[in-house]
Order: sequence, then C-alpha cells, then structure tokens
Amino acid sequence: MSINIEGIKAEEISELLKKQITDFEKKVDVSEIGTVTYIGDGVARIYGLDNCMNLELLEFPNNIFGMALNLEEDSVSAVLFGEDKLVKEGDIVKRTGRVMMTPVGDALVGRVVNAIGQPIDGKGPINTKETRLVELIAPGIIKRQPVNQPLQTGIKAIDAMIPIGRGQRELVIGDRQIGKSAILIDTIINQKGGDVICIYCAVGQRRPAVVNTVQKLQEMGAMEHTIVVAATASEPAPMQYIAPYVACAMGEYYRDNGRHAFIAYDDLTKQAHSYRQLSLILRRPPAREAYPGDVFYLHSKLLERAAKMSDAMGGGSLTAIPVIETQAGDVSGYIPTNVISITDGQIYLEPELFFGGIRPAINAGLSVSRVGGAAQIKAMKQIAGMLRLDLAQYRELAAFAQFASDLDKTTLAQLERGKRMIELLKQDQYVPMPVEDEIIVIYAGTQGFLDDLPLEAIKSFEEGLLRYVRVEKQDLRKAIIEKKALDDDLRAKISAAIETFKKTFSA
Amino acid sequence: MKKIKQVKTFANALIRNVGIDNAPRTIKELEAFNALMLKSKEFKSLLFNPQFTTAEREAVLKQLAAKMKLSEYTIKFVMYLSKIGIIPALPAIIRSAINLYFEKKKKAKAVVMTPIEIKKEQEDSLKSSLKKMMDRDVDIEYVMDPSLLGGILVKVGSTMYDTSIRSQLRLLRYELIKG
Repeated sequence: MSINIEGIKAEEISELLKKQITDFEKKVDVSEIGTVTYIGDGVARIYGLDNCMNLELLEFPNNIFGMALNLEEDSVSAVLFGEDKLVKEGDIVKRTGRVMMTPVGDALVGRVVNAIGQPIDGKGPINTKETRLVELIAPGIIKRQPVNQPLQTGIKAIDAMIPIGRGQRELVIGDRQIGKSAILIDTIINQKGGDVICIYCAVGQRRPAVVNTVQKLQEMGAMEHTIVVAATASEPAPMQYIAPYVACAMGEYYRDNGRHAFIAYDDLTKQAHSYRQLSLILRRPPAREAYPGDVFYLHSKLLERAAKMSDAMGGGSLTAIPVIETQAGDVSGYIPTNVISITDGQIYLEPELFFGGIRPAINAGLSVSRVGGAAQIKAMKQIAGMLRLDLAQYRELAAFAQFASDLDKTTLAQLERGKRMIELLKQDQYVPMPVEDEIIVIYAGTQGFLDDLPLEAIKSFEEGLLRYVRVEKQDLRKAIIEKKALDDDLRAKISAAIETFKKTFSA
Repeated sequence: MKKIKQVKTFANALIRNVGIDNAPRTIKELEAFNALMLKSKEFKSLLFNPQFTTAEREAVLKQLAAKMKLSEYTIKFVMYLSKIGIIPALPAIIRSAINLYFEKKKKAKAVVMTPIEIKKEQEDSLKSSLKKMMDRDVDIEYVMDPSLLGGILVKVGSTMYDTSIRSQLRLLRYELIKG
C-alpha cells in the first residue's frame, strides 16, 4: 500500500490503522513446534516438528527463517537464512506450512536484492504481490520448443562463432581473472532497449566486486532492464546455496508470461562449495572431493529450468549462462565436467590468449554451441559459417609454420587471413556491438578486404568503417536488420561501402 | 540414525524391566541423577572419563544410592550405560522413556504457560477440555511466564496452542505490515 505521507493528518492515520485492526480476527494460533538442539555454521538441528515437509520454511525466534533439508526419525535439520547467533539451543521453532517462495515481478527490475529477495540497495521496499516457488521442477517436453531465436551478446567472437539462442544454457568456463564476468556484463549491457530482462546472480563474490558491477551497469544504463541477486562471500553458506534458485524463479516469471529473460550465474563453482559445506555440516555422506552425492542434481535441476517455451505456452524463454572457474585450466575437474555435460555448449577462455592480448580470450577450438546455427540470424550464418573452423585451422597451421622456413602461397595467405581475423575479433570491454555492425565487420574480414592492410591498422580500420557506415550508410544497416539475410544486391552494396571507405583510409 | 535407534532400545528395555507401574519412579530417579551430573563436574567426569575403573565407579555409585535412596535397578542401569560409554545419551534416553511411558499409559503431557497463577476451577476446566481434545488423560505442568502479557499457551507434544496477548500482538504486526 503506498501512502502519500505529506498532507495526511494524525487522525487520518489513526483512522486507517483502526480500520485495519477492526478486520483483525482474534484467533488461536495453533502451530506445530520443535526445539533447537544444535545450532552452528548456519545449520540448526531441531527435535520435534513431526509433520515437517521437505524444503518447508521454518520460523525461528527473532524473525529468522530457515529451510528444512534433512528429515530424520526424531529430528529435522534446517539451514538458516540469517544470523545464527540470534538462535540458541532450546529455542522454539515453528512450522509455517509453506515451501520457500520469493517475490517476483517487474517491481524488482533495477533493484539489487539478497538471496531471499529482500532489497539491499537502500531504495525502499519492493512493491510486488507476486511470489513464486524457489524450487520448481523444470517444464516438461510438451511445454517446450527448440531454440530458434538468437540472444545477441554483442561480442563479435561469440555471436559469429558460438551463437547463443534464447532458452539455451551456455557455460562460460576458464581460470580466474580472464574475463568470464566481462562476457556476462557485456551481454547484459547489449540487451539495452531490447525485450530481454537480465538477472545477474552473484554468488560468493567479494562485495566490492558486486558494487563495481552494479555501478558499471548503472553507468551504462543497463540497470533499467536488470535485477541483481547478490549472495556475497561474507554471507552464510545457505544464502549462497539458495541464491541461484531465487534468481531462477525471478527469471521464470518472465519465461512463463511469454517474455524473455537472460540469467547469469556468476559463479556456480562457489555455489557448489557452499553446498558442500552445508552438506557436510548436515552430516550427509561425502563423495568425490567431499561433495555430496547429489551435487550433479544441484546444478542440473537449476539449469534445466532455462527453456524456450512452446507457442501454446506463450513462447517465452529463459536463457542461462552459468560460469565455472577452473584451476590452472583443468576442465576435467568434478564440477566443470558436470556442468559441461548439463549445458548446451561452452565458451572456453584461455589464459595464454588473455595474456597474449587476445580479449575476449575465447578458444575457438574448444568452445562450442550445441544449438548452433538455429540461434543465428541468416545473415550471420552466411558470413560466419566457416569462421570457427578456419580459425581452428589457422591455429594448427600457425603452430606448424613455426618450423617451416618457406611456405607456399596458399598457406601463407591462410596464415595472413587468420592473423587478421583474430585481430578483428578482439573487442574492448563494455562496448558490445549491434548485430548489423558485427555482420559488416566480419564480412570485411572473411571477404578478404583486410588482407592488404597491416595488422596494427585493423583496429582503427574497424572503428573507422563502423563510423563511416553509421554516418553515411545508415540504409545498409537498416537493410541487414530488415532482410536478416544477405542477398547478392546487399552483398554488393556492403562490398562497395567497404571499398569506398578503404580508399579514404590511411593507417 | 544409529544413535537414535540405540536410545529407543535403551528406553524400551528400561520400561520393560522396571514394569510400567514403577516407571515413573525410575524416570524421576534418573532425572535427579542427570541433574546431579549437570551440577557437579567431578561426578560427570567420573562417569565419562575412561581412566576410572568399573570398581571405582561402583563404589561411588553405591554410596550415592544410599544417600539419594535410589533403587537398585537405577544404579545398575547407570552403571551399564557408563560401562559401554553411552552415558552422554542419558538425557535423550530419559526423554524417550517418558514418551514411551505416556504412549503405553495412553496419557499425554501438556505444558501450560500463563502470565499469572491460575485458579482451581480454571485448572479443572482446562484439564477436561484438554482431555476432550486429546482423547487421553493429560498430565499438566504449569509454568509462569509474565512475558506472555495475558492469555494462555498450551504445548502438547509438538503442537502449540497460543492464545496469549504476545502472540496476538505478533500476528497483528504481520497483518499491519502486509497492509
């Protein structure tokens, strides 16, 4: 209820309160209770609560809530969503009869919330009446349809070689500090002005890092279509464990209402760590690397909820990009292999490329998108179809050519083309590109317009070309967007535009 | 899980051996014993610490039994628990035995919390209405708690009936926040 405080008299307030109180029915509060027998590390063991449901919300004293996870013969173990110092042995715990829910809806857009959907950005309460279950089973087969719409990330290398479709799950994997989050942030920024609502779920990150991200999103005007769910490293393990599910429930609201949402889980390695911690304290048997036996299900049930819904269900979509951090490039670890097998492809970032100045440091050979061409507009498919393969071949050839003294002309040409394409696919952070610009730039590269330019000039050529097209050839960009495919006429026009610009360009 | 099963087994054996009629006495004795353990650290360590021999423990317990007028079975039971190292589970065993006793006697235990002392006639009507509700005899334990402000709070098993003013205020608060 929103009340305009100014111009309201004291009598009116008391009248309002009286009205609310008269409706209040005095009733006996019957509740099922238990007693806390152990408390610590964010976990409580409770004696009693005979009829407690799995995942039921429990009410502890001091307004702290918890969630029942282990149901045993005489006791229940629950995780706490709050300070465990405020709960002590012997305290009474009440059943609420509800399973965990989170607020959802458009009121959340532009806000920063914690792992249970409470605002933490100091902008006041969130006015939404709608809530959704945090743990839900993913939609079934009949309710879905194959991915057929692209989600433009605005990153040339990804949109051209590893396209992501709406409803897809694409993993971003790599070592620390090599630009994993940057890909997510750029993708969020690129949705500005579009129909995709973005949710950024930060798990186990440092608080300053989250503050920086939010600030950057605000600066770029991207918070207008973004919800940030933050469970930072300083928060208890249960919060870090539940945060992705809460974020997912918020995204599902859009998916089920025929709209489009994109969700970034940054990162699931940390979530697995907190789940491991919880499970060990809950005394669940540890398995490989001390993770509990259901750590695969932890991620599969989350990522399966990303889907492209059928037209009968409104045609909405939820696209998920989870992040996994590897140790020294080891993708064969337990959690990385799990998530690789769940997702529809992965973007593999390599430290060697990153420190070699190739940013984003995407390894074209190991990165794949299993949805593939279905998630690209036709024009992009036409020009970039062979790009991934060509680049992978170039890498191989380049390694081989190091030992050869003289090479034949075709090999040399291939090498030169590869070098230029790699240069062309480099992109600065926070400058995602519209798809029509990407098409023009990549067209220039694959059609050999850059072959006679020195390597150092590629970047300035690209910038100049885009500036020229934006100012002089606006109709070309429009035509690409409208036709979504390159016919001979359009090809000729683009070629002509590039040629004209090239004549005026001096490195 | 294993521990819980063991606790139940011991509680069962206790009730079976002393017989259902002697059970309340034995349980009371065990409770007194438990209270003593909580009070005296040295006594606790005598039972817990494996450095003491069985003979030493027996000697102390026998003296105690005479002073506290404990029955022979209680002493034997405690000695056995101490010997096999289960003595830390004594409170859980007592709790389980009480539950078992009530179950067998078709009785229930209720804790009634009130801010002021209640009158005899109120007590009687409370007893009869609880009996009607639970369909079994009810043992009532009265606890005074001024923080309830008014009304009454009854705990039976794992159900709580709360008509206290404190809880009404809490519900009212939720209602007002909800708007």
